[in-house]
Amino acid sequence: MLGQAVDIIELMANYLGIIIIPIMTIILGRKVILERKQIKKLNMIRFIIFCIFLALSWMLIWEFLYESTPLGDVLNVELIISINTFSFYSFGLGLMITLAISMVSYINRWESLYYISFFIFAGMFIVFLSTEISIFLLPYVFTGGVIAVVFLFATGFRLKDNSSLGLAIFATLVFPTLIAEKTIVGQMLSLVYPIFGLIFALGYFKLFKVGVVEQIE
Amino acid sequence: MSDLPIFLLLEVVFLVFCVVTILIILRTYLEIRESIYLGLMVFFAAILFNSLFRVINLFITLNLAIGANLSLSNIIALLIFTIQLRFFLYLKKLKKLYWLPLVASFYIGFGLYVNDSLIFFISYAIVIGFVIPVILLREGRKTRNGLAVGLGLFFLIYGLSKMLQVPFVPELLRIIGIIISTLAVLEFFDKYLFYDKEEKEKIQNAWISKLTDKK
Repeated sequence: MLGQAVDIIELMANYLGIIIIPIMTIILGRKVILERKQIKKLNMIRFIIFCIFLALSWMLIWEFLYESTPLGDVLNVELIISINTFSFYSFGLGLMITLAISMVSYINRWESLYYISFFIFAGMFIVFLSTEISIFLLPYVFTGGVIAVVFLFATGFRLKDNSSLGLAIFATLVFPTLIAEKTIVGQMLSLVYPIFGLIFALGYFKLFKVGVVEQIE
Repeated sequence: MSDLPIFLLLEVVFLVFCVVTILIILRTYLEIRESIYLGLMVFFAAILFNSLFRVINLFITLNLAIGANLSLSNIIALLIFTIQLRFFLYLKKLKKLYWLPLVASFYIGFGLYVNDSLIFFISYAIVIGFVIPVILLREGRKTRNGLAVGLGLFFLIYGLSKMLQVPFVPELLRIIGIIISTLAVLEFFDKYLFYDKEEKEKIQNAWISKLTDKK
């Protein structure tokens, strides 16, 4: 009975995710373009947030295709959805964490750390392409994810920045769904995070009056 | 075996200059407290250790491979490359890329550990051993920076010495390189090679005219 409930919620969460997250990405992308036209300059923080959601959409599309469509029977697990090695899904996940770490260093103006996560991730990918070894991927995803979330919370509260805090809450909701995917808690959170994400993307999440993004503008 | 005393003598000369260079850099670091001098100290310490290691290897084989092809000499070489690249980024003020040398060296080291192919290691060595010194020399000449020119020359000569296998030529090249780097850290090039006579005269004239105005 519980198993059936989990399956139903999983299906609902998959559909909700596949509809809402790409819409969020489009909303954020539109915001970035409009802002670029208005201030004649790319707002890097908004652009990174847009890229994070783009990576999440990429992941969810592959997850949806594999889990909720008949294509799941013909698609290669290793190539599409595997998390232990580089697949379309884990590449998106790694990229998301890379961007989140980069965002933390960007907001805090730690200039020498702006690209460190990209170097680490690119190195891992090159090692994988040349040797098929991806032993650093999972430790990177977990430690990088925890570091990014902790620093996003810390930055959000310290600088009173809505984008960092919103992203931290969003990541906190997304992470358990990746680790405990087949549990009732994981599936419930799968339903919650797209809703929070939509609130965040539409710009209604404003815990603090003036955020870093607005200050930079 | 008869070449051994000459080889040892050349190594001792190299080591002496290496120690002198490290001490001068240490003195500069204590005066200025710039982290790059600390990096340069580690760089010359690694070169010194590499030289000692070569001498010890003549008597006892120490260069054991870890994994597929990662040996102690490769680790030292990676450390040297890391600091060379970091020094270049520091001079070019590319702060955003400061961590690139360390990350790149780590992955190349890991590549050597899992695979005996040297392709990435050699490519990295070529870029750092030849491309970067040439850029350093050009930039150093343009900005009249004696340290950059001296170290650029040292990196180039040291890289070249690693490629040659003619008896005593690599050792002699390394000695020439280390003498150049000692002169560079002693600000020899800044004082004599990039000495700007016109600028100095302009300053002197300005002072003289100020003094005559007061009178």
